[in-house]
Amino acid sequence: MELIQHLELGLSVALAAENILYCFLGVLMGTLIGVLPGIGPVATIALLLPITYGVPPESALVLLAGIYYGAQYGGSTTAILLSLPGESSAAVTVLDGYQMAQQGRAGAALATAALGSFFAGTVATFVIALASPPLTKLAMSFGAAEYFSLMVLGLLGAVSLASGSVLRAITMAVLGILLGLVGQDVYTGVTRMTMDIPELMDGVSFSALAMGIFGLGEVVRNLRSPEDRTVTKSSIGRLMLSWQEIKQIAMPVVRGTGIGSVLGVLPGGGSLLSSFVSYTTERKMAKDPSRFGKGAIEGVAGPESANNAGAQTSFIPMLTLGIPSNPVMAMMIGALIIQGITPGPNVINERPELFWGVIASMWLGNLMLVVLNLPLIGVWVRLLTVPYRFLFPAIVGFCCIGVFSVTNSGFGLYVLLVAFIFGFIVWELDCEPAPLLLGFLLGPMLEENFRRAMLLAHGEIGTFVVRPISAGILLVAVVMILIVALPNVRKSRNEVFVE
Amino acid sequence: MKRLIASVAAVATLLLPSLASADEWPSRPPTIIVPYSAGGSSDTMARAVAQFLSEKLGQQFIIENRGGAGGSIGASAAAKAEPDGYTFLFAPTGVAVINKMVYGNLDYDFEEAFVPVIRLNKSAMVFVANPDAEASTFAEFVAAARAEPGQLNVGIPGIGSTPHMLLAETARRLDLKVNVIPYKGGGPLSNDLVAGQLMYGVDGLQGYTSQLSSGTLKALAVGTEDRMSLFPDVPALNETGVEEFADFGTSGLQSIWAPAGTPDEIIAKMNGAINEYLDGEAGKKLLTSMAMDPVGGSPEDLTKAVDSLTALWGPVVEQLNIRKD
Repeated sequence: MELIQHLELGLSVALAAENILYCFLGVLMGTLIGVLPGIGPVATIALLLPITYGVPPESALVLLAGIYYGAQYGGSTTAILLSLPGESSAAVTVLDGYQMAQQGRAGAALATAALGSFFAGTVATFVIALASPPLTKLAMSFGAAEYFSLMVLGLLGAVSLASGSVLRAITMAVLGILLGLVGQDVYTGVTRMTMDIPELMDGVSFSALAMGIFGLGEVVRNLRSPEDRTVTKSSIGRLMLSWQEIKQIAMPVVRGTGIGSVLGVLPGGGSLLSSFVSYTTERKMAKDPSRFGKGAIEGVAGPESANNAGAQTSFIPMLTLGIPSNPVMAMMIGALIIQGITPGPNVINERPELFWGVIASMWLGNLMLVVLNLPLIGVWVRLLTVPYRFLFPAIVGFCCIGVFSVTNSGFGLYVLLVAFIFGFIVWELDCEPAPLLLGFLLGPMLEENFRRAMLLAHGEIGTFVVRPISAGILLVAVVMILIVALPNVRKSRNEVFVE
Repeated sequence: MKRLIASVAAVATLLLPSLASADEWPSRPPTIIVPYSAGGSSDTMARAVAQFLSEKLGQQFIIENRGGAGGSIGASAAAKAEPDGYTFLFAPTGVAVINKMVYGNLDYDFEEAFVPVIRLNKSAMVFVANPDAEASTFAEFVAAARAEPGQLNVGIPGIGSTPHMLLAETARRLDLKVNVIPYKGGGPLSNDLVAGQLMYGVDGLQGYTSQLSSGTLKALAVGTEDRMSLFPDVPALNETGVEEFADFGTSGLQSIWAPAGTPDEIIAKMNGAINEYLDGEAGKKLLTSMAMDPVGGSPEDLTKAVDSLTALWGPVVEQLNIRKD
């Protein structure tokens, strides 16, 4: 068994004393920056890059990789406890995770996130070891047309993210797309909807938008109804999962891992989609979809597993082809090049100890994360017993520091304020913001890929159905519309009439 | 009396930076503003230089990332900073040369707001192709574009980027028509090139070192005066045999500037220290591995380089009619 030999080699590298230390440092730092909103893995890795010049390449990569997937673990903590999604992938976790915390099940939600991520991380490690070549091929067959179709599918899912009226969900998704289009047009360089504000040329900041709508919006809603908070305070609930809950999350975790493993490989925002897709899937599979958005444990288990699996399989294009699937991977390529190693197809043969060492360290890192995070749950949950009058200024402070740290300028704070006021109005109108965020993230990609596909095909609109993968995805989208729409048409018509 | 002492102290504090002589500089941590968010090649370069300066000059040099609007937000912040030798601006070609041509609403005039400190390096633009592409040389690329006017897809990392301008200049000199496909930066472009979604692209060489060394992409030519030391086999445009480019050669740069009015002694000290870094082993190794050959030299050399780039790209920007405001 070649694989066993390879993994043995990998483990011998990963278990070297100094690499264990680097791995631990990486995941610890990753967890911390994940917990703090704003500062992301890219900025952290950029800061630490000069330190890695002096250490062996294996250790450098083990450290940087640890920061990256550690941040995926940490990101869910504030999303669940405080409705603060620090990273875009944690935005979905807010929906049900925060509701669980409100019902005194914060411990269960955090444990679900940690265990789901651990399972996903373990499986994804084996996926990288076993299935890198075919997955690389899949990633390479995705061009602009395929991404466009994928985004169409993703946006359709946006509608099902909301638990209320379909009309409102569509309105919010469209609003999100429009917000996402603020800034410079990729194809002409012309700026759109920036009101002559140079800071808006690169678009509206996601973290400011998400923190304003979810984080600060939640603060105000809590302050308006103080009695809700006291309920949470008195009933912390158990910290671990019951057997019943473990059975409930088992399949969502498995499905989320599958979805994340495949979508994570796609360089153009695939890993971003994975948590949304997983959430939509779980809702569709559930016997009672109305529980979602009100503290359904499956709504935490699926997306958390998906984003962790996706984070890990996004290493595949970098390890096999040397192409950066996201800014974090670009930094890792930079770190390796400075070490004199060229990431690409030859690494696996020329530097097997590096390739397999990093893979083995991923599994080890995931183990460390679960060991690190499970005992921490008790500490985190106790945070909720802090009287809200002390907690909410801290939340506001964290939001502001987080947003400021992204651009080092005060402008982000204005965006935060506007997003907060806007989010407040939207909540008051009973429109849910989740479709808005998805529209905001996917809308610009939808446009960019549509226009690129058209350019590449010299204006031939048929390109979307001639290319088999694109056609397949569009077909799924059509089927999804039919399934969702047919029984709903009459219902929503009635709703419109009632209004 | 108390008030008098207080105001004297206040005035003294205000005067302190300008009174401090170059001998004492730096007496507190200077800041280098990088007008991009953390993580890009500018950021990596700036952090490496800052680390060297911190050790050499005995004060921590701080990197402040102020991204946005193609670097003009960070440049604007640096332009407004006190010229006391404690704020510097890191400027690649886009910030030092191109922005003044494409942004109509800048609140600073680069030439008036900044004085040069040093040119760090020269970088190359490269014509790259998928290994399965028909053309393997620049001349073959030109022939392929001629064979089907307006049909050949060529990717660029953004409207108004220097690779965009090089492609436009190529089209003008050779009277070619290609189908220009803009991307949002070099990362997605290189992904599509490796995957074969399109066959040709023009981009900065520094983003392609791994793909070119491992053979997942091939290089047709670099736009520089001479070949780059990391890829001695890749010809410069002026030696590809395409006549119209026989006299051609341009290289990008990364440079450091100070707000106008910064004392000359401080600039000289900074220039000397960075020259030492660029001449040293560590600097050479880092820059070469990033495919950016070290340059260094005097502040005047930087001005000359910027002037010649302005003269080269000015007409191209005008012809393309790029406006970003």
